[in-house]
Amino acid sequence: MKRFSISLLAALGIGSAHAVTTGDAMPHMALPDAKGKVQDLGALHAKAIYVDFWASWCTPCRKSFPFMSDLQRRYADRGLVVLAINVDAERKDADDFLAHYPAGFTVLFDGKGGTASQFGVKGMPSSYLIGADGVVRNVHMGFREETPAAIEAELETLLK
Amino acid sequence: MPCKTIYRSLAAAALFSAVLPTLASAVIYNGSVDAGRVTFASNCASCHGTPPNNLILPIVMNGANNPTLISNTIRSNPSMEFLQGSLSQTDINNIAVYLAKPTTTDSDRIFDWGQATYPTLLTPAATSGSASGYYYRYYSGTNFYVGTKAGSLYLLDGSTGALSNLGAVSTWLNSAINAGF
Repeated sequence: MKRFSISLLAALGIGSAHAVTTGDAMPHMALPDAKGKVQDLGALHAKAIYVDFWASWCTPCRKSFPFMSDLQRRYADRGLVVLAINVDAERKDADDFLAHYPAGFTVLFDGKGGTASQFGVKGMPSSYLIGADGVVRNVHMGFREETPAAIEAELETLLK
Repeated sequence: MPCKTIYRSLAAAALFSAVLPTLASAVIYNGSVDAGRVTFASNCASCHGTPPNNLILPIVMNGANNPTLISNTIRSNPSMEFLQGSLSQTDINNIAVYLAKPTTTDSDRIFDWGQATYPTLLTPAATSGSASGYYYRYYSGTNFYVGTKAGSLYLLDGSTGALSNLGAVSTWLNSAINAGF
């Protein structure tokens, strides 16, 4: 019940100081994609969702993008959906980044930062591995040398 | 140059150099915002963005004038532990001041302090500009300029052309800091 209450508050955008962590329910997200079509993540049917918050000024994101593209390619048929949520206020900044670092996965746009606030994102990149039940299984902030192996191990556990 | 105008310039410079008591109730921003801006850009901005325009990550602003919180977070957050040992206490103090005053400069802090401390000399309150390598403010009420260049603070009497070097910016910044600016 406590867990549900925290998730509900986060979904409502109340108490944004709460950072979404392992065991929390994924906050509700409905964000536009590159073509402006709003994607409601609540309607997404996937065995695993990897949500990544990124920004054009984020230096580690230059390394996380190729990893996420590879992850999406190798795990797509096992039910993984990678969603990268951009938080740049200016869409052009995001587009310039994407021109240099192509995304082999779905990119959504959160220019006002509302969804990032709901997650309580503290730094870029921040990623959340979410199960089919909508519960957050793992959280990572930053992208270091050991991050890919850790995420892949967590993903294998989730998809067992 | 008439004696009266020479006296005016000398008196103004002397007045500006006087040691003044600090404001007891002032909040102390103990560091350099200029240095903090540089340190933040090279160590923090790649993950946290650049304040104050980045409102997406308000949690970063919790470090505003709170070096203890920044130090504790670096120690306790695995994602930030790579900064342990690479940032000195002075670096962290400077970052904390930068987060508290992201749109200002150390020169502006000195100018603001000067206006508050010498209201009859530096009047009316002015905005800053740049010219000939100086970052300065012009006070139309008295025709004085106060500016910084290459680490020194200068006072220029617009009426006489007398330019006084008032000493190191760092020294004046300490006076401004102690008064809460």
